Amino acid sequence: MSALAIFNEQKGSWRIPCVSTSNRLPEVVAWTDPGDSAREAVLLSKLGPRGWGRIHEFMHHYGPGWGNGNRPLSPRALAALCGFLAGFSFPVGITPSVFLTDDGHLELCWEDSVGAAIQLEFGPERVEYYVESRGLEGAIRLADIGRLAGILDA
Amino acid sequence: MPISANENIVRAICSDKWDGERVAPSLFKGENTSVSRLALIPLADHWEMFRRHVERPPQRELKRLGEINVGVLAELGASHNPPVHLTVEEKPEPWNPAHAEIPQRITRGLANRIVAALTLHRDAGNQPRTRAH
Repeated sequence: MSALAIFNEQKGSWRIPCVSTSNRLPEVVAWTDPGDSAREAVLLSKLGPRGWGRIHEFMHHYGPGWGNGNRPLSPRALAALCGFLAGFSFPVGITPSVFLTDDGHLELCWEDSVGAAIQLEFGPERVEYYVESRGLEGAIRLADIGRLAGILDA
Repeated sequence: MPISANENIVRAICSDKWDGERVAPSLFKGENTSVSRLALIPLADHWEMFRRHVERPPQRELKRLGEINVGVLAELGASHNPPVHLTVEEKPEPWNPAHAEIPQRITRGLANRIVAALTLHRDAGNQPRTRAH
């Protein structure tokens, strides 16, 4: 199963292969909307093929009620994640994990240079943050998301 | 009714909360967290039961079972700042008579400690156990 994304200039969109960890399902190929190209480039460059493919799986397969009555991915949460990723650089060699919460939020997890957890949960109204090394746990509104990198780096 | 501190419980870990490298802390964050009692249903029998119930959509696959002792769970809550009195309450369901819940609200910080204490089981019995971190 290929994990390579291919940008089609005629279509102006990305060809998305299935990057799922599933080995039971047939390969799925989808095309992004042409207007999504910038978003796709950010997701792919910051999250790598695994994280990028997982987000597409959450978008396209986890509908209302997935699991046991859970909520689908919030478009506002995804937009907030992309906005954050566009201006943030992870430490060299670090690829964060991305998860879908039962509330339809996106959860981003990685470790700092000493292995302590850094976690963000992007929802439709706010972003929750957790910095293990400083015992820091809180939330900021999406309108203040520009402050988030400063909180993580402080 | 609270179950004994001697019992062990498991929580299903599906592909939305496991990416092959890390377990999502949100696995235990929040209230009324569903778990299942190994005292009533053996570990090996949980796989098929959980698969029938949680693998929706089919892309959502059951990847691991996370096991923890109820007494250890309570100690993690008691030693957290601020302390949380964690219990596991019987709540049998038609699809799972061993179903139980952790009713208390679990913060992200405490959820991280619980996830780190899990013993992760793979399917197929012969696979080695691994720790979450």
